[in-house]
Amino acid sequence: MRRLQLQLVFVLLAAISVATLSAILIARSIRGAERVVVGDTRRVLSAANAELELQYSERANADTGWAMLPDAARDISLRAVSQATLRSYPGVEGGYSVGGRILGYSYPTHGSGNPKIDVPEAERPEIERTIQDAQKFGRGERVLRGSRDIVVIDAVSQSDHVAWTMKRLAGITDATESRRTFLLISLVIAALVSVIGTLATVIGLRKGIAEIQSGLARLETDFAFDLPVSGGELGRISRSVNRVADTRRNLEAALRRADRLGAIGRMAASMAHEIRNPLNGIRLTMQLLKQKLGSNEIRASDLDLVIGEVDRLNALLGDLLAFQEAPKPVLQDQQLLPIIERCVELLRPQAQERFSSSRTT
Amino acid sequence: MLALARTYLEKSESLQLGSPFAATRILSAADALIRAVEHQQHLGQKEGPPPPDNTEITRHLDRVYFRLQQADYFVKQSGDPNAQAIADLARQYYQSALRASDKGDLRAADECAKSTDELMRALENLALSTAVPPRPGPEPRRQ
Repeated sequence: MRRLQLQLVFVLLAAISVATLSAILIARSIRGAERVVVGDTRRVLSAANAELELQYSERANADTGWAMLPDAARDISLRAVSQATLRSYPGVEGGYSVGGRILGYSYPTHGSGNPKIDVPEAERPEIERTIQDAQKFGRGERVLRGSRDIVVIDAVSQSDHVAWTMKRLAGITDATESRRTFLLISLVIAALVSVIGTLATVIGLRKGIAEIQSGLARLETDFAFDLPVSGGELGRISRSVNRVADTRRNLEAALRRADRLGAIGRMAASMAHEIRNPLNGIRLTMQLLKQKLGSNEIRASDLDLVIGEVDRLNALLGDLLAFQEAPKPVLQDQQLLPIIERCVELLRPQAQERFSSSRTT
Repeated sequence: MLALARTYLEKSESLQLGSPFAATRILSAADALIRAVEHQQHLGQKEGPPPPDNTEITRHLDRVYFRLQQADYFVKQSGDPNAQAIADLARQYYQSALRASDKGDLRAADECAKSTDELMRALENLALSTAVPPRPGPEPRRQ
């Protein structure tokens, strides 16, 4: 019982540990996957910025008067450059910042048929902050975690301009959050179910085993007792124990019956022996009387012997009738001579008959 | 192409007063068209400067290819009825330059690539002519 409790406690602790470790591992793997995706996106944006920067330099160097154009004109020119550049980077949008103004924005792979050319207003403040970081430190970077997506912004600064790009990882946050929540809730429910299930099993086992233990203890003194039968494995054990007890009761009854029959047989044999002795005495006396009948030598004592043996038979039957109350032997001093004389008288006719017959032969 | 250049020259002159920025851009477009024609004329001349080496031609063709990727945007942005024809011509010259480069005719490859470049410059200037320049600031007060 104590060993079983220890095992169940161990299993319970192991289940809780596994559930906790699984939750930690799942949370870490989801965060790890998110980090990988964001890291890959950063590399893509960095490459796109490098190419944007290169194309800006080529465009500016191709025409010395280009740098003197008004912003509106350079916006058109740079948009053509960014469109041609970012076409090779699916999902990436971006452009330049020249003199503090965002120019040449485009999103060529927007998917709406026409390239998107309006800077997204929702992200504009963060884009401008990233550009400012790039102007200060040479490079700027932002990872914005929204309710539905993650936005990665990257900017690289050159002498008179900043090239910047942005990519939305749409659906990642949403899926990650919902998947994480779902998995964590599932784990908590699974852990609770396993804990409750284990506790219920422990309690049920303890109760069932205690019932079996007390029942077995009672069975040692009360053979008629049956263990209470419940459901499950313990119920099957109780039923098996009850079957064994029932078999034992039947065997004991059979043994008692056989013992009774044996006792009756032994008593019958004893009775036959006890009856045969007086009958032999009576028969021999009667034979002797028959012989004496012709010579008229019959004595009263000869008849007393027969009467005595008949009385003995009567006493024997009286004892038999009083069998239920087996008489206790009463020990008392007796004269030995009368008993011997009685035996001699009983055996005398038999001895005389044997003696006369041997003489005759 | 020369007739088109003439048309743009006339248009530029007509815009000089009303929209000097657009006039300048259209004038540049006309100039680019004339240069594109000149590069084609060079092909007919037996004498001329030696062409760049194959590496330089390949690099130039890469740049021209990138510029051609901007053609559709410039056509759309310019709104000019002749812009699409210029873009198509630029692509033809680019294909000619590629074929000449494959044949080892570096001079033809160089001139066709330059013609493509000029046609793209013309397209870009037509697109830039649509840009609205900032209004000039208020004139200083006379004292």
